[in-house]
Amino acid sequence: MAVALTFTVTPTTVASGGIVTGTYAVSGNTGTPAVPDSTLTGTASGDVGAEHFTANFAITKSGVPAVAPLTEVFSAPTSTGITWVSTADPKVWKGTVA
Amino acid sequence: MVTVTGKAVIGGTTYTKTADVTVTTPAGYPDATTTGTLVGTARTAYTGPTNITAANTTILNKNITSALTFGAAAHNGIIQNCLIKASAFYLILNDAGATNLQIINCELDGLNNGSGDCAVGGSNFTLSKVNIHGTVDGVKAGWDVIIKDSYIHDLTVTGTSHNDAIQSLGTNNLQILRNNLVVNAGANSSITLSTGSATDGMKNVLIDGNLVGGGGYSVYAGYQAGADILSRVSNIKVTNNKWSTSIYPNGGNYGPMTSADPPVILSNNTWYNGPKAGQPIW
Repeated sequence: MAVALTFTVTPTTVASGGIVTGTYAVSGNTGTPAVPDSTLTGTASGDVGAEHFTANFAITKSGVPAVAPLTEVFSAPTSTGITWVSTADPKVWKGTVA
Repeated sequence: MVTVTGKAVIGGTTYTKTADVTVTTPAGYPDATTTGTLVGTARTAYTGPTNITAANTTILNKNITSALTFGAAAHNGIIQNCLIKASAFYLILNDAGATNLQIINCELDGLNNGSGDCAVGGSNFTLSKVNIHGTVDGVKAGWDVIIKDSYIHDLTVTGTSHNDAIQSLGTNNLQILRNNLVVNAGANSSITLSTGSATDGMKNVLIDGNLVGGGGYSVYAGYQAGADILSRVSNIKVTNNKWSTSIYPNGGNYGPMTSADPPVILSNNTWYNGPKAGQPIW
């Protein structure tokens, strides 16, 4: 899944002197999950007494290792007339409108 | 419309997105109901330093009883929704070089200290929706100053005071926008650009959309031919302002404006009230 970034500022209309919130959201940065590798299939047969048996088999090899989500770094928004400060959540910034 | 740019680096790839914000300005001229501290937002006593030295200092929702000074490294300070009541020479001073001080929705009360100087002095600051009273001068504006949507009134007049709501003794980049600057009787002016004192020049000044009145003249606009040094002056504009007759019939005691000779640019300056309401002041 492709990584995508969205950035929203709320409220979208604010009086001079007000405060707005800028919020980042990331989608698709889930890392690579373990997936099955190749599968071996085949048929085995043999006789047990007078009976002839045929068995199909499938053996799945161990999966590839998972890859962690990508590192995310969010910068302070920039804009004319709004001063931005960080919050405890690195994806959320507070802006003071001059 | 203000465009905000957000940037994130994800796994070494840089992503940039933008969002728009519409910033509204209040209708009419500012008064005590549209400036100052926010009704309904509680404030607590300020216990922090009065000499601010750290960058990005935010002082929010506080009652402050002493003056604040900003040191050279105290960039990007914010004082918001604060009441400063203090008897001091300056209530807020930012003259050491710190940039981008923002004073927003504050009330600055100088407690009628006639030996003080002003509410806010220095350079590199923005006032927005600030209510100033009880000081000798309102704002002494140096370089890179914006004063907007604010109410400066009831200055402390003494026998020797020379009160200006806004005074500049020299600037490069001063914007005075949409303020109510009608000063009480006995004051000197709503706005004084004192080019005679401006050895570094009086440049790039925009006085737009204000309500002014009172003073000897309500506005001293920065250049008087034959008295001021022409080379000190450039790009001064006085536009779209209104003059009140509530203090004197002629705006100021002697008239609405002086020191407004070319190259000062004048446009659409009219009477706010009185018998000539709506007409040009000259």
